[in-house]
Amino acid sequence: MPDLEFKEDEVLAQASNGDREAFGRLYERYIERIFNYVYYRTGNMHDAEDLTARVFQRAMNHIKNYTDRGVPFSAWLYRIAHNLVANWHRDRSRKQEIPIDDVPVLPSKGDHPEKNLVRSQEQDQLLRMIRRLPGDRQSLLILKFVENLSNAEIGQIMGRSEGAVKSLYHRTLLALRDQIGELNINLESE
Amino acid sequence: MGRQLFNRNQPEPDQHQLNSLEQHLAGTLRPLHPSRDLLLRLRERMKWPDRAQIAERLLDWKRLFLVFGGVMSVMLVLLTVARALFHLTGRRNF
Repeated sequence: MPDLEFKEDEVLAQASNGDREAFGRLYERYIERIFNYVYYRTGNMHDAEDLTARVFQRAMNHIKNYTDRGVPFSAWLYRIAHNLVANWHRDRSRKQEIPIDDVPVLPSKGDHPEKNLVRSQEQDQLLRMIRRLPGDRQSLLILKFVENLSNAEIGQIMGRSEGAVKSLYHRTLLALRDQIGELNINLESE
Repeated sequence: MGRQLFNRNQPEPDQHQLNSLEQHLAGTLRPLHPSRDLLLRLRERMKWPDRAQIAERLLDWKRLFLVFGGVMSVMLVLLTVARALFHLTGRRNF
């Protein structure tokens, strides 16, 4: 249920003054978006849960440091998530674990299970390719398609100009297209 | 069935190919809806610092020094009070 009386500036000010209930409202508002971002960047539910909790714990501990300098609170949260995910990937590479390619494809609400079953192999291939991209490109695709953010909003999160995001997006599409060609994967239209 | 989206023999950036790829990305990268249980678990975790956060706090040497000093001071006060009580009340009984 949408929070009709949600005025982010006021809630942020209350949260900055140590009001945990106000922070709880921010949490409720952004939890799904942050979880989605972290989940697609990590590829597994357990780590996504752990990292999402840490994003909000860190945000709660440092919310006094947040000042609105043209960067929305959501962008600030995404930056925290981005940094934690980057640390997570760094730790994993130090431990020399095999990167996970078996990203589970979870159905969205309202989809037919039969349709998901038919499409999951194709989606799995595409997800594997996305996971082989550099981190910033993965983030860009997730923010664009999962979070439905504009290039300007993505730029605020990634610390790039709108034009730079647009350019990176185009290069990412070309790289994916080339990978699809090299691996000779058939992505068939419906 | 459907037609092949990309062909190795077509290296030129074709807007049609990119549009099709965008459609596939939109179909693949869909928002997930975490379960209510997961959201509740996350909410519970917000009340307590996790291990990583405790470790982070322990790395803060100023805070660690204050905590250690505080604990030692409280212990000294308790010891002094206990000794005083022992001296005033119980000593003659032994």
